[in-house]
Amino acid sequence: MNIYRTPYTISDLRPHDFRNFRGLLRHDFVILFDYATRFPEFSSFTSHERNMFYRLILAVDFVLSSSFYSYKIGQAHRQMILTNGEFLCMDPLPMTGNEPNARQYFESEEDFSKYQSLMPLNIAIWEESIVPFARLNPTFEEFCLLKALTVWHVTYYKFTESGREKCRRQRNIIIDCLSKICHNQGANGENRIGELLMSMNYIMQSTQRLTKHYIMLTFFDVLNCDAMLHEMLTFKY
Amino acid sequence: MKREAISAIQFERDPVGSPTSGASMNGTPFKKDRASPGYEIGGNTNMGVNGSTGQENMRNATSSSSSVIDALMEMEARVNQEMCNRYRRSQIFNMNGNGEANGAQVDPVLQQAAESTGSSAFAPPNRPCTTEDLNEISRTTLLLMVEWAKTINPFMELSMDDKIILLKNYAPQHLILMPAFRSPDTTRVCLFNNTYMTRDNNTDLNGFAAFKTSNITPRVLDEIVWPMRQLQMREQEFVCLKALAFLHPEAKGLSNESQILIRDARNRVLKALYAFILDQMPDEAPTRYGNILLLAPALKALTQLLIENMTLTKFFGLAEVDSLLSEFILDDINDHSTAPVSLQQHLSSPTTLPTSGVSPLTSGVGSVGSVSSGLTPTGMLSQTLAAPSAIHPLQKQADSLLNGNFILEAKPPMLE
Repeated sequence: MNIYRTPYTISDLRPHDFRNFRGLLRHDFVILFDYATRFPEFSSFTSHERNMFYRLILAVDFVLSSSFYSYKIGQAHRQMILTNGEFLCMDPLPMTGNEPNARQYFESEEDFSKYQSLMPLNIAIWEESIVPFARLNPTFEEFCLLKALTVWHVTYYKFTESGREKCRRQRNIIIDCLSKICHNQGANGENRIGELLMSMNYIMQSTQRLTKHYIMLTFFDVLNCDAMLHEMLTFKY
Repeated sequence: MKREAISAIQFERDPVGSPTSGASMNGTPFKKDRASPGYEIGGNTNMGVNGSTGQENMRNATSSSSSVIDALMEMEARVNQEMCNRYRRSQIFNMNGNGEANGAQVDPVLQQAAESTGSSAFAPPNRPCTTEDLNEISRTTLLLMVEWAKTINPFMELSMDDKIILLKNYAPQHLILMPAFRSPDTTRVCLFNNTYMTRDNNTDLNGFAAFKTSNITPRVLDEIVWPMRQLQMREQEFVCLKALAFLHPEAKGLSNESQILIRDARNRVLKALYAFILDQMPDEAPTRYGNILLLAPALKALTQLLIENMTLTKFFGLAEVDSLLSEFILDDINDHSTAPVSLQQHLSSPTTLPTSGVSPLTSGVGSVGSVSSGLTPTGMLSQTLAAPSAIHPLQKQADSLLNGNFILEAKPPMLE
């Protein structure tokens, strides 16, 4: 069993290849669908609610899982660990592609365009979410509960009234559980819960940024995305 | 039920890493190294071996938390008083275009309403909001926000850049939070200037305000007002939420030293909020505490929408964007070549809201000092805003607070 509670060890990691990066792939969708179906009351959602719930899990997972992996196995070398096991060195921060004369570092216009599309987003998520999340020193249990809570919270307003009722119920259960864990860990448990819940500010902000960015990327067909990703991002409420 | 919830939330990429394994799930504490400089454990609430020492610590912690909330409440009351003085009088005396009171046309209904609502922050809203109303109230709200911020420790200890970062990060949230809390229901957002915005109240507004409000007002009502009403949020909880939204250590560009100071201050507010809820509703304290804090991410998401709307409004020239709003919300934080001059000038001047002798957000038990008795809120605010350097060069004279539109004569001190 991986001592870091991550799917990758340090030796599994490989450098990020932006040229061949295509976003989420088919197996990612399958894994995350399995994750979604394990949520309590998922089977009682309407079809629309299940759709929304699953889509937002994809976005939340990208940000939060990357944050957790980076904290666990990327922190020592200031690396951002993506959910596909690739890493990006973030010290010093990589160029965004918008610098003067940045084009000269790329072999082709296509490479340059793709780099410019992807790297600013990665840097933004790193600065906005990954660095502050690592500062929290979250445990695996806190990470799991926080991710579930974020999913429930970010989908809340997309639900029907009955869906919101289920969401409120599940949120309260998770908050209660988180509270017990934090208070069991020592004094100032309320501060710990507060910090974890306040971290949802930047996590949801990054999630929103990611979603919008990928909508643009798929619209302009910058990435050679999996068809499923296109479908995810073109869903209408 | 709760254990089932945890076990169902399986870590998807690691089938071996079941959350049901490990001692932590059955309540046994496990050690975790938290050497991060930003995270503190322990503090001044550790229970001692001696029960009396522990009880004393608990009393000290409760007292400290109570003083934090008391001070925040006091600051809030002062801000509300300023708003009341400004807008209640504007309803009593029917102002003409130059802002001169027309005593012959005092509206008795409004006067009675204003007098009868002496304990509320503002008179009941009586007309839909116009574009001018929105601009004006936003400007006033932001100016008072600066004064309020000056009283929050450790704000005044920060560098000018860090102060501006904090204010700019918080300003859009403030514009949403303040009217949201005062709104009685989810049919309309009530503003301090006795106007309101409904979900569909965009037909009479011009491009700017329509753009600004059309997709925000319904979401504010659903995502902020409704949860507040459902929770029956108290004023004490609201002022803590405001302070927590303001004290954002992860704001982009903050120096490391400021982050530590702000994080410490935020932790004190968190502790105070929890202590208050625990005292009021011990059975549902954890969930209530969590549900109040969950308003923060929703608020942040709405501020993004507000910023986008205003950016597009300015970009497409749909309407004039108020200069102060533009400084707070639209200007690039990292672009110091266009540093908000008037904002810096406001920050450089001393606070116009009376401050306590000891800031409750400093460590340890602090007592709330007496209010300076020689100054009145309105007089002090006027002095700050009356400084020539405080007026933005683009501000119209007619809109200026300097020309005495809504400035009252000096009143006796509030506390004697």
